[in-house]
Amino acid sequence: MRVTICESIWYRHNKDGHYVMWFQPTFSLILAAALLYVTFVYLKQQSARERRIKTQRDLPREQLLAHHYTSFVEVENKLWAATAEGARTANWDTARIEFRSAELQLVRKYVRGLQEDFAIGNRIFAVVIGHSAEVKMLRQLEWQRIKIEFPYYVWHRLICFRLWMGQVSPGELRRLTEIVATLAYEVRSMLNVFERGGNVDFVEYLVRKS
Amino acid sequence: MNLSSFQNFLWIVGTALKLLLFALVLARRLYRRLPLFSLYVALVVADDFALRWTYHHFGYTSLAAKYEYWSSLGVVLVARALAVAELCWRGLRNSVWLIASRVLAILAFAILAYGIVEAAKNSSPAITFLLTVERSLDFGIAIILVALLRLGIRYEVWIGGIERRVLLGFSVFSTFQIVNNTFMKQWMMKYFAWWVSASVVSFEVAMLIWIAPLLRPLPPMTASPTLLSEEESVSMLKQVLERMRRIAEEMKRIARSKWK
Repeated sequence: MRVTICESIWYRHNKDGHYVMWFQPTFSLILAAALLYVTFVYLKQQSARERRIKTQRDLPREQLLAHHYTSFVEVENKLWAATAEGARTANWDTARIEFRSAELQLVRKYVRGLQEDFAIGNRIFAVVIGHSAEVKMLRQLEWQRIKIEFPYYVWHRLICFRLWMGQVSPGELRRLTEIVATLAYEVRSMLNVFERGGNVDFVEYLVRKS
Repeated sequence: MNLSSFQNFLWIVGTALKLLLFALVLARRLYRRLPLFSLYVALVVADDFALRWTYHHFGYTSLAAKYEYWSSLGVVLVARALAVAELCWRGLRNSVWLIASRVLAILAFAILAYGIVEAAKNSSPAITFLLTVERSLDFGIAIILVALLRLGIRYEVWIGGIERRVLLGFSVFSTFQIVNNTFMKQWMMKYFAWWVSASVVSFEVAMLIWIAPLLRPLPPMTASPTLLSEEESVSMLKQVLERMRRIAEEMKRIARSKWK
């Protein structure tokens, strides 16, 4: 009984041409894969969050906020020192320099630190945006977030690609640092606003339990 | 036409799991936490028994079986949609419910409209309507679940352990259903009986996912404290936004001065 009904519907659709025939299965597969993928990511992130909350309970607050980006000058000085004198040009910012593995390792570690900083800032930003009581406000805050997020991902990917090629561009590294620093500054300023408004519990929640 | 022994076996396992799930829902008082999901479980059990009774008395291909199957399908479908809506509300009510509720309402309207339009084109409108709504509801549930999970990841919205399992169960079942709905019609008609059995198995897997956390007592339900009231959030976030704009302007000014 069910078979006949299914068949009749399908045949009627089939006469319309290939559009339905190929679009629907493709869309179904994409949707099914997307559903399984986001479910997996969501459950994994929730477990990671539970672990993180346990471990960061007693850590000092400074360590729970973005802090790796502050070592940029130190990293840049080390790169400068490791660069051959002939390669130290006036165009230091735009140069792409090939380094030895020790320096590349240093930059990789620094970029990982920036990634952590960004994750912290983005997480706090996300929770704050989620508390907007007005759609208009949410849209405006989300726009501010996208303006930081998008360039971050572009520069991050580019720098990772260069590192994979064995190169480092100090200018690009500086650009990524500036983006992360801006986010860190915005987050600190956000926390200040909440603290001055007497929402200390909310700030504690953002820093330790988000 | 009668059910094969394998189909009978699957049905017995399914009924046993449904009864166990329903008993656990009552024993753990899940109806206090997730009333609509509990209602869905109760309806699934009632539907199973009603269908079994009808098949036993009137036969698998009888007119009574046809009416029973399609009418109960409609009721269970609505209950499933409500259970998913409840999950969305519970997950997002403290956060981005403002956006989510609109998206959900639009999706629900689209599903209903699609069902009505398809039904109007067919000579057997009621059954086509249910079949189309079932298909679009499976798509809709999958889309809503993807949206819920994406919003959860984007805005760091996390849900409790039992809700997580319910969500996982719905994800598994819906994933199978949408693939099933598509491929059965196109390539699997010859293997219809096997494919239906696979669909039953997918629901049984979902039930096992729901049963597992209910085997132990649930943690007490504690209302999450309101950390930021609505009025406060409006005034605070206005200040936050203002500061952000100032920071962005300052960054632009610095960048411009660098290039000069």
